[in-house]
Amino acid sequence: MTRSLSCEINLSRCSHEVDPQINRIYKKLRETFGSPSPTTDEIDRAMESMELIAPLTEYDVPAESYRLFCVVMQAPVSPAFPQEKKWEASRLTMCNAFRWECFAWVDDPHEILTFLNHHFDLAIRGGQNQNEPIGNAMRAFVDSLRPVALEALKRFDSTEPLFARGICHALQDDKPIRLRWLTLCFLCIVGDRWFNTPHPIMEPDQMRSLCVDWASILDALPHTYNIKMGALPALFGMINSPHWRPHIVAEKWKMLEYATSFPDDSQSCDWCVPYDPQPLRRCLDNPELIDAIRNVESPDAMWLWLNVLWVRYQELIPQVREQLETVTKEFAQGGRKTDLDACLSVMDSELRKAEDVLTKYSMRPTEPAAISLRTKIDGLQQARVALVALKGD
Amino acid sequence: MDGMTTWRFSIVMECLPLMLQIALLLLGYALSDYLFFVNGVVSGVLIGFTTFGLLFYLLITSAATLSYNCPFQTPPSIIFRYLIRLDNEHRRYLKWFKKPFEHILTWMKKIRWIPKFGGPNGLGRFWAPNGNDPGAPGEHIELHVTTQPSPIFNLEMNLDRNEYVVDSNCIAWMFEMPTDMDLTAAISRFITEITWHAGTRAIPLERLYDTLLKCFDQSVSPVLKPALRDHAYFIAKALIHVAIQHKCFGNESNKTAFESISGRHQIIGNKRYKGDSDLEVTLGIIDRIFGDGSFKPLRWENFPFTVPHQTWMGHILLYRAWDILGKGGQLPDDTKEYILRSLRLDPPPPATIVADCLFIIGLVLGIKLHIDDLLITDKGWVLFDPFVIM
Repeated sequence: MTRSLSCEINLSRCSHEVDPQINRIYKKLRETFGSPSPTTDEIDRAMESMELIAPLTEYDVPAESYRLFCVVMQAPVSPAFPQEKKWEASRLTMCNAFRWECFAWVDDPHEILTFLNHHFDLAIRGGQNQNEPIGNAMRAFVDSLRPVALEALKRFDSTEPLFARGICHALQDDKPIRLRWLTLCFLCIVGDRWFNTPHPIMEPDQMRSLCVDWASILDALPHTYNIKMGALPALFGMINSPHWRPHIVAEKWKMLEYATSFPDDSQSCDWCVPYDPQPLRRCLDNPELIDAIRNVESPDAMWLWLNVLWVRYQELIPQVREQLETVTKEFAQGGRKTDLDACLSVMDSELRKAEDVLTKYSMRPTEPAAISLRTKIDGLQQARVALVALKGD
Repeated sequence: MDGMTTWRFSIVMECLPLMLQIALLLLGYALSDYLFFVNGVVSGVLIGFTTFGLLFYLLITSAATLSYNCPFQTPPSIIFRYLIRLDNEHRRYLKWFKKPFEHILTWMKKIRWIPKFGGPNGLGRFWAPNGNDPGAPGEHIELHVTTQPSPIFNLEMNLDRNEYVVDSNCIAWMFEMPTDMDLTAAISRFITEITWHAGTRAIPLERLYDTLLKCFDQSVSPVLKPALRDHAYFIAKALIHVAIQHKCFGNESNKTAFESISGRHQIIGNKRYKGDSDLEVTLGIIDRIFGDGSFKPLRWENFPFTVPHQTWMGHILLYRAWDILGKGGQLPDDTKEYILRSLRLDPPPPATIVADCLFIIGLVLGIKLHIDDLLITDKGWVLFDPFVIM
């Protein structure tokens, strides 16, 4: 006799029983929290069941949880549903909405921002460990924003002191690496508000501390395309800001070597926030930048920046182009021809890459991408000629 | 040209659009089914289009079948017309083809590729009354959102017309007969497969308990006889099954049986059985049902259950939760632990366990558990063979 034989009853109840039951549970939860006057018992039961479904990993759960999160956040506070329970309910829903590999899409970031602000407050003033809810909210912004929500988020004033401190707090090196990575990406979204300001938004020591934390998370991660995507816009923002520039960790100027070929359309990125070219554009158009970079601590900063400028030679405004040529002459006369050789080899490499890609369009020469590639190749060839002339071998 | 005629080239060519039409119909059906639970409006539009397309197709097929001159000929209309005018010779051919087809079908049924009524379930089932015939066995019922609240136990059934009542009456009758240990163990296995309903009150709780005790050497304190370990497991499961049912139905005679058993119960679940967690837990539960209430709750995380046992437990706990929550109580901690442990498993547990957990969570929320919420299965699906145990 085998016991297992008798138990060979059915392990195959169809999974389609699970999804409708999940939908029913979430519908009931939405009704309970959306009710104008829920009873304490109803709220307690809803909270209990939310704790029980927290480990669920079914496909429908993230979207349902996010819908429930919105209902919870909009629910009025009442004696049966006090503020504390409301935050707890929102925490549980956020946990299921953004914890797993599949996640809900966000159309309106305001509720999540309110949630994030509250948990920043708890973490900073209350000294509590809020890594999980903060991480979930960050995930919502970094991975799950629809374009309309991204625009709304960019309009959000992220310079508010508590919020800014919260971001700095989440980036600290004692936090989980995933949270720090998400915060680094989030900085890229709100960076314009932080770096592109006439006045600093925080004290110098806070800025220094943030730059150190920012650098340390980059050291801890492999420099994949995603990481560059998250880091470079913030770096350009810092470089272009006279308040932030002095605090950039010297080693991180080396990140500029990625800027010669970035963004590369041939690479795919699983990050939903599109690359923002504005910070780099501002740097390229800033006539004070060459002089400012001369004075930074990093010995590599200047020639790396020259590389970036020479690769984009055709895009430069006349004033910057003139400065670039002057500095290049100084390099040639000052015995730094090896740096200029390195610059030439970078340009050659970019040229080869562009020509390789262009061969794919040989049958479709009038496509916008092909036209853009030819323009790029022309620009690089002209820049190369100019650089060789200035180098004057 | 002759070859094209001989090999029915025209029919083959006509089958190609037919396949496309079938594919389109299946796509429409699948999309409608999927979107039904996602977005009602979108699925409504899709169902509308699919239905319109299907009706239109049926209309032109009917027209083409009835009228040979109809310009909208479709492959099915040609087949229908062919079938309508079948002569005796064609009928004989069909009959000849029918026999092997029936053989294949019978063989598939034998090896259970074709379930009689849907898929199997874990332990016990919900009785599904059937429209005009409340006593008829439930058919394969898929889950759908029901608005009509209904108890999971139908207490007011027509005893004469329900075959599941016959099952329970058979079990009660078998217990009245003098039976040996092997036969009782076989009956016990059957108990966990019958539908839950009021008729199970007839199963004698005390008799079952006494049979379980026979598996133990009681000279000093109860020690399980090694040879009867599997018998004890099945009988213990049946006892829990019936005990929880009796608690759910809760009448005075049950109360007396419980008090009688509790009065003489000795601890049986405090031994380790060489890693047989399923048996340890089953006996532990019996101590907690009939013991003096001094036991600490079982910690599920300490027991590496087999999947079938965990499935069975999920079903038992669902009934228990229904009973306790229905009486206004709180969900017991052990049930909460069971749910959390099951849902946290990596890889995830089978859908049947997840479904039971979700039904319990639904009960916490006050969602009425409808009999339609579970698939009703026929016990023929269960690999039940009383001789295997002997």
